[in-house]
Amino acid sequence: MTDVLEDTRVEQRLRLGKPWTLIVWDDPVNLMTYVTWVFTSYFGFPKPKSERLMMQVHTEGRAAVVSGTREEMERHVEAMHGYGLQATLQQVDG
Amino acid sequence: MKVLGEFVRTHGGIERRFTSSERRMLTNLAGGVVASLDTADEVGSYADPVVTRLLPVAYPDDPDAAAEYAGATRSRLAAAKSDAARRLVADLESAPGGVVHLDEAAAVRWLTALGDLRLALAERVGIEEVQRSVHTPQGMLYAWLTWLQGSLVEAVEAH
Repeated sequence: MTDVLEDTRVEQRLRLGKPWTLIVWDDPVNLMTYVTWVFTSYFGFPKPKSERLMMQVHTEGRAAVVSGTREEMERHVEAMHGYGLQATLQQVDG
Repeated sequence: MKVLGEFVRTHGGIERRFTSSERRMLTNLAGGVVASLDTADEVGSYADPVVTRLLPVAYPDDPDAAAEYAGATRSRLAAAKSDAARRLVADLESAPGGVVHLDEAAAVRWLTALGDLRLALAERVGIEEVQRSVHTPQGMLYAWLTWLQGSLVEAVEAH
């Protein structure tokens, strides 16, 4: 018989280990050139990558920009809010 | 006389001359943003759409995590944004002949502060309203701010 409590603990451990993703959402105010500049200057992405992500935000309404530990992603989401971008965090499913 | 001059690169920085009416408009707007942000520690500020837009929710589907994130970052973010808006006003006030000279760090600070002014104006007046009505004072102001920030992005990237 499966120990339900044990199962829950394993499930929690697995969940804690799953990476988090920083999502940037489209908004009607921020300029496309500004969003590209934020991605390049803050994350150090090459300009083509920043432009691709910006276009994804613009056309699809959102883009997963970067993934990692919750602590790292919280630092990034705070930075994005500092720049005025609509950014949220979500845990990667699967 | 260039009324709508772009930000231009000069030796060691970026410059633009602001007319007295431009300085007044930016000062008023920045004052409004500072006043909103200064309430960020009060419970009521969560009902202010401007504050909510400038200090967004990081975990939309998890109220506990969202509250924890806000508790850890809200004051710090509000202070940084408020400081940037105040310094923009200080730069305008101390500009000789209206000519604001920005080094790289100041230009980045301005870029984000101008973005916050646009976000606040769009939130306060309504995005459809400011985008559609370029003939209203607020629509013209928004269009000018958009152009101004775009000009500064170009100047910063030209480095």
